[in-house]
Amino acid sequence: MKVRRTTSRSMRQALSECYSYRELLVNLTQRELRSRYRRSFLGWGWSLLQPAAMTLVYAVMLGVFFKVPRSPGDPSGIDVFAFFLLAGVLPWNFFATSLTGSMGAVANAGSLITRVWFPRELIPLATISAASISLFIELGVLAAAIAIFTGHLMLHLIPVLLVIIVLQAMFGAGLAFWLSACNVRFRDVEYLTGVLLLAYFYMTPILYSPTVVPDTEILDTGITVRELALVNPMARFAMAYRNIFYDIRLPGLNTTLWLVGWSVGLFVLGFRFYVRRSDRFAESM
Amino acid sequence: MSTPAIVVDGVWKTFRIFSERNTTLKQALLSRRRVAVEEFWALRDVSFEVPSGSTFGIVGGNGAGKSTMLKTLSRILVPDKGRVAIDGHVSALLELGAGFHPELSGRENIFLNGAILGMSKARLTERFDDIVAFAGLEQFIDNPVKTYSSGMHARLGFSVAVNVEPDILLLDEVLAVGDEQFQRRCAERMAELRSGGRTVVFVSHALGQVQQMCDQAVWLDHGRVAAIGPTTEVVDRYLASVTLEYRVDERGRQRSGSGEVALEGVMVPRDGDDLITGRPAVVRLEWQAPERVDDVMFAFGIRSVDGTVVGGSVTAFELPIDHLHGAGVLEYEIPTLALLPGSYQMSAAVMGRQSQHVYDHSPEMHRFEVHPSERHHGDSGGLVALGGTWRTVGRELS
Repeated sequence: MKVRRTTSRSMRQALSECYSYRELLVNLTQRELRSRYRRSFLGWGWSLLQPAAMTLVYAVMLGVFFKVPRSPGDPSGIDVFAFFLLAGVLPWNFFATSLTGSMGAVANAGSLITRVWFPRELIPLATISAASISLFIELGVLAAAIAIFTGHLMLHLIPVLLVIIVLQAMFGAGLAFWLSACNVRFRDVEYLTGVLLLAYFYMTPILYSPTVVPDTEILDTGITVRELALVNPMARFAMAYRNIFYDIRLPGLNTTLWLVGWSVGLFVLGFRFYVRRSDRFAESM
Repeated sequence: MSTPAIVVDGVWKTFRIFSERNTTLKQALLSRRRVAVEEFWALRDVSFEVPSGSTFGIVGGNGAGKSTMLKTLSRILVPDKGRVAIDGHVSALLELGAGFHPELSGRENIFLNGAILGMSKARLTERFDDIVAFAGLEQFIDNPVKTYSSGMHARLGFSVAVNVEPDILLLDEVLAVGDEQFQRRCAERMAELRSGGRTVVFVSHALGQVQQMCDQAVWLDHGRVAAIGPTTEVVDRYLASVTLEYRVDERGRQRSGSGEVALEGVMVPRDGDDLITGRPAVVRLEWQAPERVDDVMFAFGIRSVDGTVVGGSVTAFELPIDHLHGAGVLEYEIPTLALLPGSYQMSAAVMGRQSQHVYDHSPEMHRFEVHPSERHHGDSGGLVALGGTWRTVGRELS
């Protein structure tokens, strides 16, 4: 038995409490996965159909009408625009779901939060765990399709892929912690995020390759536009996923270090902010 | 005296009441001047200790800070000043069915609720049958919780909370639900927990229950500790301060009135054992008046668990009573009971028709449970069965 105080929690305390409630995390994640697509005829099929349809639209629009320039995978030589798009769109959907899903989940957990204590961090974490699992399934289907149509197997890249997914989950969680804590106070955050996500989507090389971004110097700073565009962590994530699924090779060290930095940094900051704010959730609900 | 399980040390808790709460970013940004903030101190410098293994009561009027105190103990609220130290695993049951997901089945909810209360899956699997049996929900355990009556909801919630085997159990008014059989089982279970060395903290309006169960109590008045000590003393001092002179009768119910007429009231089915939605029922009031009492009227009222008044009736107009002497019974016939399944509480009173002088009154005269009938499946929530039927008008629907 341990003595605890009901004053604000330290980050270490919050982490150890999250760990001791890990079964609840599993439970909440299962609930999220089970209740998704319940009462729909296709069920989990939607999880695959939705990005497939989206990709078809983009592939026709960008590949056929606009003829967006693109280069084949290096060194794989794969040149299928749909695969190029999916390798970016699926992780993007995961990112967007991490943010909007977490905000919704926290905002809707009022009846739980005002009645019983448990580490509040688990609410966004469960949403993101569930989204990670569906991302993994979707990417698995993509990998199978790539193997069937191009003959490229990528089993040896699975450990790296898992690392990238975990990093992206941490990155998404960091932002989701921040946004969902703010959203409890101001419900505008949810709508604002929707708008910003749309702008961010086109800013990030998801539908196009980063080589499309001009490599010209900005004024006399010595920094090029493309270099600036690649500071964007989501651009780096898209690159890493493309390395795995399109180039069929390991992501570069540079990209990986960027991702580790962004993910760990944002996760720590977001977690701290959320832990402090969550003390007052019950009063704002 | 053993070591304390809970130490509350100089706890202050304030709620900010915004006269115009800024819930949107626009309002917060546009209102240049800060919106007038009223501070409401729900707890002011509250200190007490709960000895390990004891049962502790918190009493006080509405808005005295009882529930805030309990929420602070359960970590839902964090104090602004002061310290709460708790030694052991806490399980709290603050509201009916806290944390139940309406779409999930009772079974799924037991696992979810248990996990929320911090119990491992292995322990839950082990205790599962006990939990279901205690709640008496064997037949309904795979139905979604949204189909449960409020009584079933409360029973399941209580059953999970007491079966997670907490070192410390926090209860807020939850024993005020369920039929008498369930009440008795709750009381037995509480006694077991106490003899097993668990600590129980208990908030209730039902002073009778507090007096029966608690070793010690604290009386909170407007957020301050007004009295603390052995339950009987604290409850007596609290009662003495309340203008309506309530006392507690031999069955643990609040009572008031001068006592010239003694009243007993129940709600019973016309026939059969259970009160059932849509079937006939009778409110039976038994009175005794050793001396002659003139110009009286009887009244009863029915409340749902959450305190909503559902209905009631007085004799004043339909049945003027010139005087009472001796003993007798009055019945109020209900041809079809419109109450939906759930727990209800009946208050009853006998008083002077003109003077309104109260002879005998209890706000918790009789608790009863209404059970579902086969016919009322279409009713979707609320308290009352409307008793209507659907039909189409004009074009036939396929």
